[in-house]
Amino acid sequence: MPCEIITLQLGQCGNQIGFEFWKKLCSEHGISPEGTLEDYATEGTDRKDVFFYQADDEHYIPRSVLLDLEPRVIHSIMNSPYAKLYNPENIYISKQGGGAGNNWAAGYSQGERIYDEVFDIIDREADGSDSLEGFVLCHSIAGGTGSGLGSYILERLNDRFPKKLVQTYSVFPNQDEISDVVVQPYNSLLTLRRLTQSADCVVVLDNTALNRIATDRLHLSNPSFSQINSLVSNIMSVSTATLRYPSYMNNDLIGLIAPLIPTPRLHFLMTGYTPLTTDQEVASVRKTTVLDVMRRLLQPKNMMVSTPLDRNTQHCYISILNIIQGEVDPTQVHKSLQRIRERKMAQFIPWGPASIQVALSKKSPYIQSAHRVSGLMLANHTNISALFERTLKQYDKLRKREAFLEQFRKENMFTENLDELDASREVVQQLVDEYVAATTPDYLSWGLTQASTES
Amino acid sequence: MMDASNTLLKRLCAHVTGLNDDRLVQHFQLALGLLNEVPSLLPPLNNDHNTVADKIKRRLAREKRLDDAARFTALVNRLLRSAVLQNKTSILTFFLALSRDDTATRTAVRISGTSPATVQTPNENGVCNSGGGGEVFPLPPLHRHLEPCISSETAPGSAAHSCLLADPRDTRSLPGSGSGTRLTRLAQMYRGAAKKNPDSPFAELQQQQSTTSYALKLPQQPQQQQQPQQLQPSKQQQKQSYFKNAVMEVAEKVLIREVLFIFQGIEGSIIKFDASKDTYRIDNKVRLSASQKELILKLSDVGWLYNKVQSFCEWGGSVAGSERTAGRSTAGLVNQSLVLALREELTEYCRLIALLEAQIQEGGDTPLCEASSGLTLRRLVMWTLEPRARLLALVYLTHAARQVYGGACVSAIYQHMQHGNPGHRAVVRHVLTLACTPVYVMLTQWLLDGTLDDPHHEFFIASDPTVPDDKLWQDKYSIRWSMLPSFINKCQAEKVLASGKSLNFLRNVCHFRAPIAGRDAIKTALQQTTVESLFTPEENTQLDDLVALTFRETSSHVLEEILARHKLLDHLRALRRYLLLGQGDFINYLMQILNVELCKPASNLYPHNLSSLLETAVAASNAQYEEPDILQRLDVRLLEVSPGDLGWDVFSLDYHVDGPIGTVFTAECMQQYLMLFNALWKDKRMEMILSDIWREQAATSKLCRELPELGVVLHGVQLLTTEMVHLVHQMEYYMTFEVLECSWHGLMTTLKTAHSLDQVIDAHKHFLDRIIAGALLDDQSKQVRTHLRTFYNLIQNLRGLQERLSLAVCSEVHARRTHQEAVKARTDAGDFGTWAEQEEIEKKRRKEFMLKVVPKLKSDLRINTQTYQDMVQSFLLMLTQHDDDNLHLLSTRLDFNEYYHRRDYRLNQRLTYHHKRKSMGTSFCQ
Repeated sequence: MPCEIITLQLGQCGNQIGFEFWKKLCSEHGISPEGTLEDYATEGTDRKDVFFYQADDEHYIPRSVLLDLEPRVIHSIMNSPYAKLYNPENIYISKQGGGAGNNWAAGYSQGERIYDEVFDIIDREADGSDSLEGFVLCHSIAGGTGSGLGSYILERLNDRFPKKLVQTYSVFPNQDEISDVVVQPYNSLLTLRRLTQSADCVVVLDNTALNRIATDRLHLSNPSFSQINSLVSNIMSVSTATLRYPSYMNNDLIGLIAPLIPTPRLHFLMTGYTPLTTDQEVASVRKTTVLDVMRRLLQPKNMMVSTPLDRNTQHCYISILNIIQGEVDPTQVHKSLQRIRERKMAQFIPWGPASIQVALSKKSPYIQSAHRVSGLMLANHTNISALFERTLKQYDKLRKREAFLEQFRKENMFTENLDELDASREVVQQLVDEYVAATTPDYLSWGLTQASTES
Repeated sequence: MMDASNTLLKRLCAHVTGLNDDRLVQHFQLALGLLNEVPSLLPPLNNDHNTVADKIKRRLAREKRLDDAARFTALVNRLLRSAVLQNKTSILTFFLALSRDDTATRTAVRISGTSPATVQTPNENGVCNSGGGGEVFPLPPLHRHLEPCISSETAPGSAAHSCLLADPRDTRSLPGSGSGTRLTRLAQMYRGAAKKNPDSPFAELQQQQSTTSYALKLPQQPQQQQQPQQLQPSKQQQKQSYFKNAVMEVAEKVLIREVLFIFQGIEGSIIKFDASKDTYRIDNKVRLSASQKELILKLSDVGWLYNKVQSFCEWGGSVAGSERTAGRSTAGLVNQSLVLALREELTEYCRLIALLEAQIQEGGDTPLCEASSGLTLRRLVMWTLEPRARLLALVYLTHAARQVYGGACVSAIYQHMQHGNPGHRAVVRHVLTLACTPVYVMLTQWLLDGTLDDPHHEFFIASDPTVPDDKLWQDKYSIRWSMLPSFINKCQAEKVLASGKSLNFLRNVCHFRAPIAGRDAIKTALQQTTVESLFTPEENTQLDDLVALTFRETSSHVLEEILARHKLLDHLRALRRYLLLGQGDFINYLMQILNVELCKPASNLYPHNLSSLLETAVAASNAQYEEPDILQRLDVRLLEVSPGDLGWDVFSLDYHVDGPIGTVFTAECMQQYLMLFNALWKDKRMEMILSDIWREQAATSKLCRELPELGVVLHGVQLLTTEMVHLVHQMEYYMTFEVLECSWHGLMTTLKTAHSLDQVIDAHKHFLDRIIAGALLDDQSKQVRTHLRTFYNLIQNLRGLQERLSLAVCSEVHARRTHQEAVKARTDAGDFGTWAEQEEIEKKRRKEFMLKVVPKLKSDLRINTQTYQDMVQSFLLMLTQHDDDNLHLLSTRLDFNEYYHRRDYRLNQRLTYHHKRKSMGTSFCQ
């Protein structure tokens, strides 16, 4: 089947959001937890082949690889009703079972050790697809396995499949609360370097914003992981909706990503979602129009990334893709765009053409939702650099004190020196600089200045 | 002498009645009147006094005056014995006349007073009327009134009058003028007075005055006022008889017979038909009074009219030099029916003539007792008043229908339904009813069964038997506007056409055999209508109802057939999915697997290879869930190959349509679909190429981390790619939402409310036209489209550039890596990592790279970027200046963040005076 996508779930967080994602996909496609097609799923308009394949007995199996260095989360998955959904050969738990200890370096170096076994699985999956489009990686950047092993696998994927797209759903740590993972800034920085250099597209899922949304918008006093994860899985499923419900446009991953990402490094995407309400609250005052959805998506409160307001830099959108699901009048799209343009609701880059792309996608007929219309925004906004700057700042704080570096020095990579950390910082700093440069018309000649400073 | 006779008459009256002077006046006048008109009561045949005496006796017996009758017999005997009285029979006749009722006389007088007017009126009115309404009712060259002839033959002074002859009773007096009765002598005596100086106008005047003075004695009677004039014609005659000896007196009886002949279109011996002047003429040798002439000519009009109608019947309508020389048999059913109707009318007329003839036969037997039933010329005029009007109406109709046939003929007749004269209208109505019958029958058959039985091409629906079934709906049937009866309006005609066409469509194209759903309803409705309801829309709405009902029933049946049984909507959806690329996954995959094949020259392509690839793509995408019928129709098609074409240029998908749906998806429509497919496919391919370029760049940029020297070039190429991606994607979004979705939305809305197949076809056409215009494929956008084609070339150029770039990057990176590895290997081996010579080579190579490869790439990039940006600027300029408002939407989309606006001031002219004037200009033009 054309344009297949293989999902890699890494670490505790990656497997949890992956689990929610598959749950969601199954319900949207009418696939039971055992992988068989439900009786009611008779509509042939959806395309399951992108994310599933069919076994000999016709039941659907996710193109998914579950990797972890410790067995806890995967075991809980295997004890869930969805245990039989996955291909058992695609589940890999490190034999050591000790995990990465929230240490990027440990995760990374373990990756080197299990490389053959892991890539056996990945190669097999890749061979099993007709024309593999790319990989989707789910992980968090703060822990050990997701960040360390994830970084390692990102690099290797690049080597082995240089022409395949790699998209990641990366969970950024919550900055509001003090993390129990003290080396989180190191982990984040080191992972960010790989995300910058080896991934083609990173969908940033900011735990800070997710938690805020859960408490402020959904009124959950103490949001659980699964509640947050269902938010995330929702975003993941909608952002792949156009791949799964084919129409005139946006039917492959590259078609989604290419217009969003002008230059290879500026590939960190924010997401926004509406309506963000709990299901009990049915807020249907009037018919939701395309304009309503687009306007709401442009509001910061609906964004899944928390970025502080930066008054010094004129941050702007590099590109926007709105995926709108539900019953909307397609003839209204242009009017809404016109309105947004007239009111200057969105500020765009000054150095090239940019606009809001709108994709209308089908909604799963098997899921009853209180909302007739929902929308997801995938946006490339220069303001995302604030997130990286924050990481840099936290890193610098730790680095200045040379704190918690002992664990890192245990691993090969850092035994001799800490150059890797410095190099990573350099890369992330460059990324921030590029994002800032992209707010000005000078970005056109950015490469030139960059080259001259380097040489 | 006059006084003496008057005194004698007075005394006689007094003696008979026994009344005194005052009351006697009335009787005297009556007697006088009788004396003057007695000849009329006295046909030459009745000279026998016995007969007259018998009549008087019979009359007395009838009045039960038996005593008087006995006395009368005695008196008659005394009279007969008398030697003094000579004109015994006349005397008796006089008494017989006297015995008539006073009232009867008065009535007769009154009639005589008014009849001339009434005779005159319809005649003149009829002609004037038709002359006045000439535009509405084309005036046939009617019998010219022979006024000039009359005046030429009668003296100017006396031409005006002769009203005496207007008295019907009087007309009979002529034959008796030669007999030597006392009354005639009396009249001759009067005439003698005028004869003294006949040629002197003065004498004539005197004569008139004298007769007037004579008449003045009896002023109370209107009849008497005419007396002066009464005398003149006789005088005139007298005069003529005196001065011209070639006089041929003709008895009125003969004249009447002649007239009756004429009534039947047969020439008489006195009244001849003058073919050169198309009129009847009275033989010059025959001397008649002017009034008689006038009457006869008036009557001969009837014959002339009869002739016209008759000859029309003979020729069946195609008379008078029509190029259609064919006779009745080919004149068409309508004309045949018209002739039938005319013949019916003529038969009716002939019956009347027969009655008149009969009257003339028996009229002689009882002239005295039933004087009112006798025939005179004047009476004939009376009798023929109504038939004359009918005939006139018929002649109008024949004139109107003379060179037309079929529906046009019906229309021509129908015009006369608007005539103001109700009598005329009634005739027209009757004729029209018959003439319409064939049209009605054809209409019935057409509406009920869709059959056309029209050998003479008279019906307003025409069928072209050469048209094959797949074009039946569009081309086979048409409205023959010239044959459309004017009482059926355009809208109804179109509905009628659509109804029958629908039936034929169901039978021949859909092969639907069972009777259609609403046939019974239509049949019932048809049975309620009559021929007359066709052309009397103001009286009933039956025709309108019938047409509406039939149209509704048949149309809904056709629609149901097309929509339900032949799944029009499914096909529309299929076309949208496959030819308009709506099924994205299928199209993507197809394009992907066709890539290798289509990059070959077009002449090396094998359709079966492509077909098998098509099948693969279907099987691999959601298209596999499509109905098998639809998938079977999907096929590969190679367009015409011109030299140098690649596979991409000639490849096209095709969708086979046939049978009923082929009526909606006509060949032209499919051509449009193919055109659209081509354009969309091209756009899609550009998207694919750009995606590839993007993918390449992602890979290259990862490599490029090791080559900062190329950073600038890479950045430039990336930005250029972004611009192109933006344009291609926005073009596609525009196509999706502003063009395809909106048009589709419109189409679906129209289809939901459509009542007929024609509406569906129109909606579909409109749908396609809108998309074609939106896709810049119509004529107005040719320039824009051509411009866009250069854009495709630019993308190809970019791909070349990108390939060269990534090649350069790869080889350079590879060279450097080899170098580094060599150094490393030597270092590991304990040797010097590098030495001057090698370093020199490496440096030289790098320098060469920097000096040769990089600048070349840079300049390529600069050229590409410049050309592209110029192209976009002018493209946007074209769009903003385009007349089509929808394309302004596209330009908004392409320049959403006003990037290009800032670069080019010309794009800001949109709301300037020039632009505004232009848009206003177009709106004024519309």
